[in-house]
Amino acid sequence: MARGAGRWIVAAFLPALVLLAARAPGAPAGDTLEYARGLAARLRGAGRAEAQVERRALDAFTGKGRSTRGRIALEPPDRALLEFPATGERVALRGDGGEWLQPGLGQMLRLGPENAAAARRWWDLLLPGAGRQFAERKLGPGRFAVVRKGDAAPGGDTALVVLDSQGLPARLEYLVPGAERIEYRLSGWRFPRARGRAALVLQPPASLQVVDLP
Amino acid sequence: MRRHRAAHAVAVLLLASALGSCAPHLVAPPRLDPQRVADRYRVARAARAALAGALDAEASAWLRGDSLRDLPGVHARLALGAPGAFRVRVESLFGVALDFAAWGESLACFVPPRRLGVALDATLDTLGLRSPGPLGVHVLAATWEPPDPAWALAGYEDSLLVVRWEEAGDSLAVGVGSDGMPRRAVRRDARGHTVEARYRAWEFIEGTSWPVRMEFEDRAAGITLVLKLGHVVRNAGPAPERLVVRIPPGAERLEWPAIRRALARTRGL
Repeated sequence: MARGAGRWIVAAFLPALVLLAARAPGAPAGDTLEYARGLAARLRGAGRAEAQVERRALDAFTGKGRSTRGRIALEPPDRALLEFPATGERVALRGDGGEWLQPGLGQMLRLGPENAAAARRWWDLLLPGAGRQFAERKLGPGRFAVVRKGDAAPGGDTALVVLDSQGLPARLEYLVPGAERIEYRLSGWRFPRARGRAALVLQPPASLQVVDLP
Repeated sequence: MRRHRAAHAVAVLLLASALGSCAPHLVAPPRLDPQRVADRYRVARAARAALAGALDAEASAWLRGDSLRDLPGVHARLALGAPGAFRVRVESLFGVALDFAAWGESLACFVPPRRLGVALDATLDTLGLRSPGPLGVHVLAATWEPPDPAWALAGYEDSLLVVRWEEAGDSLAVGVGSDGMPRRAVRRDARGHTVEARYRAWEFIEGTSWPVRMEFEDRAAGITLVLKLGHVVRNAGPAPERLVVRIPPGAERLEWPAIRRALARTRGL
């Protein structure tokens, strides 16, 4: 039960990150979905991508919109860092696991190989061979819908990606049927040099409890 | 010489007595008349029940138990719709992990990441839990309702006035402080299964004392749920929709036998 609960939590929270990730450098460009090509090309040249993020969602209880601002950093082949200063939450995600700092709950979750594998289920979206698992449909200029193939549920896990004039992601919307639609607005893309894996590993402050998830 | 010694002894005793009379005395404060405590409880309970009609809160929850390995705490949203409905939505910045609602005799739960849903009727599905909706509201809003005759038999245990009564085959006991606030409530069903709610901290919400830190202990399972509330506000919006969990078409629906098997596998957790 505990392991299952952990997987649910991680499975619920990772897709949005995954959708923002870049494919591994060196992978054939033809295997990258069209909407990710601009970002992947810039990442290959610089090594790191950074952007401002605004998370928007409708509050199911009040019916009003809720907005949270943060930052995201991406580094190939498999690293992402998401930070929300207002709450102090930080999420680092790598191919070998990750950390999720939650000061409000007094804890840091350390994601192990099992949850990392759950995350890679979605990383596949941008990796070579993703075309076998995902379908991309162009909705219009700079607008794409990405759906997992074989998903029997009507309106199954679907992401809407909108690109800016530079061909970089400007808006991501993610929906799970029966749950809320979450929208990420991305702006101010920068492409500095990569900092490497060590800079994307979170260390827990002594005041926080560390909880290991498999 | 002997008279001198006797005078000295008397002087020492008098001095000791005088010093003793100056020292602070440990005197227990007089206990309030149980009827006054009961009246305070009823007034405060009525205010909480009114507020619970449309209340939203942010919640942090931790599950603790010797038999459990470390489980992460979770953030949730809580909505109350007294007298008979509530909803808990476990969520984070990245999405909803679990959405649960209970109203009257019914409950529904949806787990979006697994696209898995459960909808049950307590009267039909032998949950072993009657009226999950009203019970959840009583627990979360501390609106336990002892009948008047039970108050007449209430007695003090330490500093709490404890009132006991029977309700639909269950035994209930609520310990009330002199301020009229419940500090703990114990519910024991006919099979002896006991759950205790402890109300650890209170805050004023719109002029009403509201429990903001609670512990719920299942003694047999050795499990305690710690719940901490924040941003407790009255919801001025439309009430019914916010208390509903919808299981979307295409989601897998678990039936009661499957749930019972799952519960058995997890030893009732």
